[in-house]
Amino acid sequence: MRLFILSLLAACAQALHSYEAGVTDWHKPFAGVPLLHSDSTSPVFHRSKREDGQSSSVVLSATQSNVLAAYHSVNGSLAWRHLFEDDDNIIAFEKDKDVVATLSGPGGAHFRIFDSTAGYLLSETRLHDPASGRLQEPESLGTNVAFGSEEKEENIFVLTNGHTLRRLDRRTGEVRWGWTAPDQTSLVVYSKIRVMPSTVYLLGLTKSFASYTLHITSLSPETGEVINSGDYPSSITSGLSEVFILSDVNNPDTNPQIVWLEEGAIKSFRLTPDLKSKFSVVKGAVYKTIEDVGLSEHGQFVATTDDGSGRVVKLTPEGLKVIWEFSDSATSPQRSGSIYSGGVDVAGFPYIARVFWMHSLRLASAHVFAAHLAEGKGLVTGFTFPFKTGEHGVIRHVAVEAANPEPYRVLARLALTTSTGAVQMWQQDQLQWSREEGLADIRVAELVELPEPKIASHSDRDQETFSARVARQLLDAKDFPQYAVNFVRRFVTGSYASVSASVAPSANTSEPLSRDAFGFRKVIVAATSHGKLYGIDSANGEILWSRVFGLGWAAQVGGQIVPVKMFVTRTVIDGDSPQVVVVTQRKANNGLVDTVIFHVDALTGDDARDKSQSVDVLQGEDIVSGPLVEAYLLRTEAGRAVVCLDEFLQVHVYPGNDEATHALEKILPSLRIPLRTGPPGQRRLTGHQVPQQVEFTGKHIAYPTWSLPFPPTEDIRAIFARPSGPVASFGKVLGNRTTLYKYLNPNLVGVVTGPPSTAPPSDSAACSIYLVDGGKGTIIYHTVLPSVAGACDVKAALVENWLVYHYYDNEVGVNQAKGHRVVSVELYEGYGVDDKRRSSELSSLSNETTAVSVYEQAYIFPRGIRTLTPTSTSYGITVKDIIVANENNQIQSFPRRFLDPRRPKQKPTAEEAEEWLIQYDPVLPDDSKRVLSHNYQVAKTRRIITSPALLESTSLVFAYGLDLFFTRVAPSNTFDVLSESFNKPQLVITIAGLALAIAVAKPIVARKRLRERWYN
Amino acid sequence: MFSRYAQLVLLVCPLLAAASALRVHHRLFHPSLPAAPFAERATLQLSGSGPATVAHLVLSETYADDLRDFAATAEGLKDALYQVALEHSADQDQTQWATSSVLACHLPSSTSESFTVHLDQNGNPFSLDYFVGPVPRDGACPKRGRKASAGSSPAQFRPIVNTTVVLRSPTFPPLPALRVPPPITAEGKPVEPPKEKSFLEKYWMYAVIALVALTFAPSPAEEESGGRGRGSGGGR
Repeated sequence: MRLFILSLLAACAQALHSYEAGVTDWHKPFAGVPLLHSDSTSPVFHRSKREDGQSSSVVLSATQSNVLAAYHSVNGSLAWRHLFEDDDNIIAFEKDKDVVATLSGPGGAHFRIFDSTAGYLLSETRLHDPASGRLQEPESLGTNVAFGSEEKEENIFVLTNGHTLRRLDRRTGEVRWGWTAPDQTSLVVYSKIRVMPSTVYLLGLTKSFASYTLHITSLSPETGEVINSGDYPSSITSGLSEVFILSDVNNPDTNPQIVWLEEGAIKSFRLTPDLKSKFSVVKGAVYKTIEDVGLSEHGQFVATTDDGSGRVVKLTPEGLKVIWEFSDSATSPQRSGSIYSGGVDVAGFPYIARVFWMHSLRLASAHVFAAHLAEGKGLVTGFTFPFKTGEHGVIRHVAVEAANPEPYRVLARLALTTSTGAVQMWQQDQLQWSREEGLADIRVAELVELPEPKIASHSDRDQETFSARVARQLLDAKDFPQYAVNFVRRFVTGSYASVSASVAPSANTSEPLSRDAFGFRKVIVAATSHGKLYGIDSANGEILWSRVFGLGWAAQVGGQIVPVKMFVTRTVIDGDSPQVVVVTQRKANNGLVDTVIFHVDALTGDDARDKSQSVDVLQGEDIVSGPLVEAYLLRTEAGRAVVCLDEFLQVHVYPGNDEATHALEKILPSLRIPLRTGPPGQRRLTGHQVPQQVEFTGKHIAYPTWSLPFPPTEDIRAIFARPSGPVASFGKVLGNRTTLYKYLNPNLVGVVTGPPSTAPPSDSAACSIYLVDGGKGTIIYHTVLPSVAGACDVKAALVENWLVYHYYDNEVGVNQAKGHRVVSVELYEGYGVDDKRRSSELSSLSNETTAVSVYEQAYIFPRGIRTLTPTSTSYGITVKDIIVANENNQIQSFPRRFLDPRRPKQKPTAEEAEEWLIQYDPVLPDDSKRVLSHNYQVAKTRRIITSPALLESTSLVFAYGLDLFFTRVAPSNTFDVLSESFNKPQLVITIAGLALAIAVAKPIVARKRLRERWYN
Repeated sequence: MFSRYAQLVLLVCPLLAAASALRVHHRLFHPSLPAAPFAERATLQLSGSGPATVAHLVLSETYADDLRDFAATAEGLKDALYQVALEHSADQDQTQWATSSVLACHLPSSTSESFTVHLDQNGNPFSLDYFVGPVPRDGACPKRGRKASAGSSPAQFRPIVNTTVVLRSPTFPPLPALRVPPPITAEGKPVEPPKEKSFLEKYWMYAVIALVALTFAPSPAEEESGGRGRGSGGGR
């Protein structure tokens, strides 16, 4: 027990110190890339009045990461964000004054109200069981939120599941009344609500043979009674995107109208409670599309004519009127198509912005139309702004907010969302701020070591003459006294680089990138699924460079680049600047999938193939005309090469030069490639070898050698391999001087299996973890874990001979309880101590690969986790801790000593104590001092990467998911650096004192000796 | 002649159905050869249930002939593989079977072979590992001596006498050894452990004995006590 307390004390000593928080770590919160597919979730400005009469503006957005967020319009900082659960997708949000209401979950199962300035959750209501929610396509179909008009502003009307309307209290979320369409099985799906003082209109579509027919129901807002309901003869082909209800808040006497596009004509229908009126047609042109730009409550929308010209149509008491046509908006090769967006100013007047890209000028242009200005005739102000398309792709969405400080002057603020996932704020032609929200969707990332700082040198030193050199050196010698003083001061005071100091560069960034004394500073190269590659400084999280992936030939048809793997192909040890290769899949919009390789310099982002300029998009090399099966990094004598296998198992090597090809041919006979094969649901592991002979295509084609099918109830969920770090010791010497030799089979891969996703969920389904020899398919370790309602949530990591896995056990056994468990497994060679088999160099064909003894122990884990990873150091001497991203949005470390599978069940004996083993305790302590992310909320972490620093004791930790978080850990303390509190002056004084004593004593001793000789 | 019933090892297999048969197939494989279908090599007879499950390998009639054919085919081929497959009960497609390979060049020098049949949690076999031994540590093919002639090669693939069959069930993760809750009485109160006796309670009898001994001990002689007193005085 005493030892346990001691160890706990030791653990406390290793915890995070407050002075390190925010210095050695950084955290970048994100909200995710805005959802743009629906008007009900895309970014929008929101201005709310504060108590002091001032108003503040935020940009509200629901994102692909399932987050509702608000950015300050002024500086782009995150005002607040609310993380929705993974199974509770945001499908709509609506703002009004000081609140934001959201609907989420299937069919709009959950309704929440947030404070719009601070993001507080004011109320939360479950409207129906998520299991009974109707899944619509698109997801937002059949749901809508509308706020009550002026007099009834305490009400919110919520439409869910396409047929249920409820009136809720704005403050409490309490349901006042609910109405459900009597015939739910019919083909009517309601999708829009319009609240008028005396009537609530519900607009839906009825599916008929080739098109949709309008269906309208009017209800009483007080009681929810139906006033009238019926189908209206119409033939709508494009669904609900081109049907909307127009009303005018500034002119409440005007009856609202339903507007839709039918065969090139804009038709409208005046809404009255009894629903008895005739439809009318807007004459004058043939229209291609009509678009609700978010101003339907202000009675305005944009219609595009046959030639592409945009027209603003307004609701007037007399009917719909075309009030403006944007000049030069017809389709033209000179410019891109126009994006229209509506916004309001502080006074509530509507503005419509048209944004387009001018190919000739390479500038973006915006025209903002205000219908109420110029004495009601309408006013357009235009400006161009230097949008960097090479850095941010193309503009996908625009939200606008305008101000009218003086007559005939309009100031517009545009919130842009780009194809690379950036959110930008432009005020006229000035970029206010830009957020790289694409970083919330990193697919692959690597930490790349930086080169040493270059000492300033004279470049012409080789050519200088002798006299010039002497003169220069004499000139340099004038600095010597200062140097000497500095040297002595440094020597005496010991002001060396500190391990707990920030390694961020000083404000002047003119210095080239270089590492710090301990190698804590690296470049994080990260590729996102939004087609962008970033270089991030690990010292402070700043973006050093970024490149947009070029689409190659697919630029004509459009497409998407999905990064699959990233390899560091050249490191600073190789002598030159480090390089990174990104293997991606290009999914063109015409359905073709290709494998493309991008090769960049990790320090600058420059194309290492010199095929594209640094200001342009990054061009890749199409290495495989088809999808990729697997890619590997091959370490050969000639350097590192990337090997890709296509669907026909052809082996492609990058770079395709002779050196790499020869190096590949040399190691071909020893290549053993385990691949996931088979259709989804019956995936198996198949081993492959590559023959020496090439096929007629000039490529080697791998052939299967073994096959490992899993039980029919299991499908492969994940494959994990051992990190290729160095192993410091091949055995573990026990207290009794015997040795357990680590099982270090180099081909070992881990496989997590679970019930196929196609199978119906059942409690009898099981998950398994296998350790398989990837060279021959031998199962070394196989354990069966329980599933939770047919789902497997098993997280595992393998390092050296140590397997750690985490799962949830919902079975209640004798003396057992439900809970999160972590199991620590160690594999040792042979069947006992001192049984040495040299597994690290053993062939897979030898039966001895199966001679393994397993030590395992289970512990109760405090909570669920998202991912786990072991720390890694440069020589592998330091103890490996496990870094975990837990469900509380924290990054936490768990010491190896607590997870040791050989912890004795009883009080440790003297021998066990000698190994520093502590007594088994079933519960792993949830030590808040080991929360590396301290008070940061590191949300939705998908993966943690650990990377060695130059200091053996320290491991760098980078977590990405929604947020980015970086820190460093020293699992065995910083044993290789003097502690901060080391008293250097005392040491110097002692040595100086001793030297003085020697100097004093030496002549005395010499004299004494002389006298002794003389007189004896 | 070798025994047709190879010697076996048995392992714990609680769920395996009694007396079921599995078929094991084999073939010679080389990427340059057309893919040959698997031929039946043996039937794995499982009898008994629970810990007493015994697996018998009943070799097929054509086994020795097949081996001879394989040896002839493998002659001169580098990296030829001898593959063993476990027939999938529900799937006749041979590519779906669990396959394990060894290098054909190891067969002539092998003296033992082992099959490990992996069972899922319900006791159904799903995979097979096959090894021959001895195999050099680096797995390389033995170098052919100068004397080895082509004519003698067909005889090289001799059936291996020492065959081991192991059935292996999956393990379950260990359970955390929870602390046992304190015992409670019928009233639901925790049972109070009997109080430890104090020192006096434990050892009173010795104290009594010592006391009695002191009491009844013969009193020391007068002179002796006087002498001690003097001695101590002298010490000072």
